[in-house]
Amino acid sequence: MELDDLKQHWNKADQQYTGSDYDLNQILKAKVNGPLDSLRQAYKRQLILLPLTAAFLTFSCLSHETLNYNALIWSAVLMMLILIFGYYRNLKLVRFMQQPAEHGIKQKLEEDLQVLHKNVKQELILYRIFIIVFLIALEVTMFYNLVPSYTKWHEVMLPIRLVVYAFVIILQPYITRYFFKQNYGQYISRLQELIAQAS
Amino acid sequence: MISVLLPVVSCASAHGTKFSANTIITRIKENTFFIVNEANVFFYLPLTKDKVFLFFCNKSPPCPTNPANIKSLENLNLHQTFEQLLKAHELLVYKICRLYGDTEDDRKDLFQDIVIQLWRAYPKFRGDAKFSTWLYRIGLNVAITQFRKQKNKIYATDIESLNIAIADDNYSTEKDEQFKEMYAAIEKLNAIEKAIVMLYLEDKSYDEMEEILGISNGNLRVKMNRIKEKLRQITKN
Repeated sequence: MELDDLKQHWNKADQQYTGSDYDLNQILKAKVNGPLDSLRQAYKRQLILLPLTAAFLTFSCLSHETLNYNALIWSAVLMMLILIFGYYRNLKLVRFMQQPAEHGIKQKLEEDLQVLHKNVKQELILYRIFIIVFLIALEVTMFYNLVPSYTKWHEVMLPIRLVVYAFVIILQPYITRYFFKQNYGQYISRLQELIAQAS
Repeated sequence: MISVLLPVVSCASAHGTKFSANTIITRIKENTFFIVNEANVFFYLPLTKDKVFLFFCNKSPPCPTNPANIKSLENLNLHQTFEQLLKAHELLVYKICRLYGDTEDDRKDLFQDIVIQLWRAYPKFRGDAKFSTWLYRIGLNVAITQFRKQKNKIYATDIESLNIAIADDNYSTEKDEQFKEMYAAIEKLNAIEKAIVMLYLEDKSYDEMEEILGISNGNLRVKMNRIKEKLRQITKN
């Protein structure tokens, strides 16, 4: 039996096909179960929850005098704002990957993979800049004794503080990559596999 | 705004197709329809077997310069043309589902995913390529990259058993047994090879395959020969 022999049998399906009953409106209301849609939903949830939490914390800090200078809460708010930006970028990335293939499936796979790699590079740079700025701001704040809650950390010897900072900076790419892999790892492997199959 | 009670005109004809000349009807919920014609825009809500509730939104024709009317009419047309195109090409979607879904549940799932992605992408369909080419691209892309086989899935809609005769026939003769073996062999191919085989069986030219898959003509021919050889080996074993 050859593949050409099968053609006729395959096309018989066109004549035997009687149509199926489905409700288009109901289908269109349903959720897609693919990995990209799960990510999209997760990012959307985060983009609702994080601004609400950040707004609540900001409101709490401003309305309670005792919390006005709580550096931990303000740092958390700052971190949330950075995360909101990160999630927004990720949402845009997922939306881009869900766009239909304009030229051909292989090109679309390559484009998606390229965009994912570019995105991880940008995330690494973005979070590194954020951490460095944060650490410099922390040291400056402590030097001028602007925030009382940092005094305990300021009492720690400078060389130890520098070792901790260095450790954080060294660790950051691994953490960023870890989370990126958690989200897109399987998808990247699948894309690479498919590109190899199509080459 | 006027609300009136009228006898049922025709429930069946109100579903999805033209109600009368120049009237567009779209189903909003199970028993609620949004109806637009030259004179009125209204909602149709059956109350009992012989009475319907017509809720008029406006008595005058939808003003073409009003952006809100233009948008709703555009959406209505978009939905209607999409439904018609999908109906005309649904067999292609079923064939993709049959090829990439291992079980009946997988196929229903994949059908749902492909239709949703087609609908999302449809407003950007410019008609540069044939609708079938565009559908293959999106359908295969969903099946290959975005589809996740799931267990214990609850369906949002009850899609009737997918009526595809391919490989689901009762094989009685020796020839049919060979067909069955061949389909089983195709299932063992990788995702891209399956796509190539499907387009080949659909009698697509290499140029069309290139347009859909984005793999060069020459490469496709080489792959096709390899696939044929691979299938020969699998069926021999």
